[in-house]
Amino acid sequence: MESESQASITKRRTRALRQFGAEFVLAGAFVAAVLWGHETVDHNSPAYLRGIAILLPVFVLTLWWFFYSAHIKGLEEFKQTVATRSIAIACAATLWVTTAWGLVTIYTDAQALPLVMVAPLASLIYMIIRAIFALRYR
Amino acid sequence: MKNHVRELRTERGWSQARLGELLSVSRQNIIAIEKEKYDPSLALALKIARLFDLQVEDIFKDQ
Repeated sequence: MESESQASITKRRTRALRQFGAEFVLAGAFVAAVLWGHETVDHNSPAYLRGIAILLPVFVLTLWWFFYSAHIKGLEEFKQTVATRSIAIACAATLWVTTAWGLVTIYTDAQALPLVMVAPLASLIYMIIRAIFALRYR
Repeated sequence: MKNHVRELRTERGWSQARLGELLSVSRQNIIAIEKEKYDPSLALALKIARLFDLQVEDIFKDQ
């Protein structure tokens, strides 16, 4: 490994921080929208309110998805390859975790994983995998 | 795939960051290529060959 100029380090870190910040906001908005719906809306609520409780998190999730797709599209080929590999591994890991969790809930008193939390879970797994790749290519 | 990118770069006294700048790719990309953990695309391989004024097959070899 060889030294990287301070300007280059700062630029790279700023870009990464901006990306992380934007994703953190979107992830937070998604969880907040889900929790808001969970706390304030139920089966007896007016239809429009139930509609909002469904559509708001879906809208945020769609924004998140478009934002990340645009981010990956803008990456150079190597980073794009790493991101794509990480997504593939994260998808497989998410399937593994959710299936294992499902089996645990069948045979124990453990609580079922709320399906709405699959996206944040996949995102968390993805971030861990990206961090491992980043360390590997430091 | 085996490659001689590290030798060619050090011969010219370039850092990995400098080579990355010349090729318009990240330093991590250069690290991965030099460690032979990543095979560059054909476009990047051609760019590397042009930069070092060599043929692609002089730099990249099949295992």
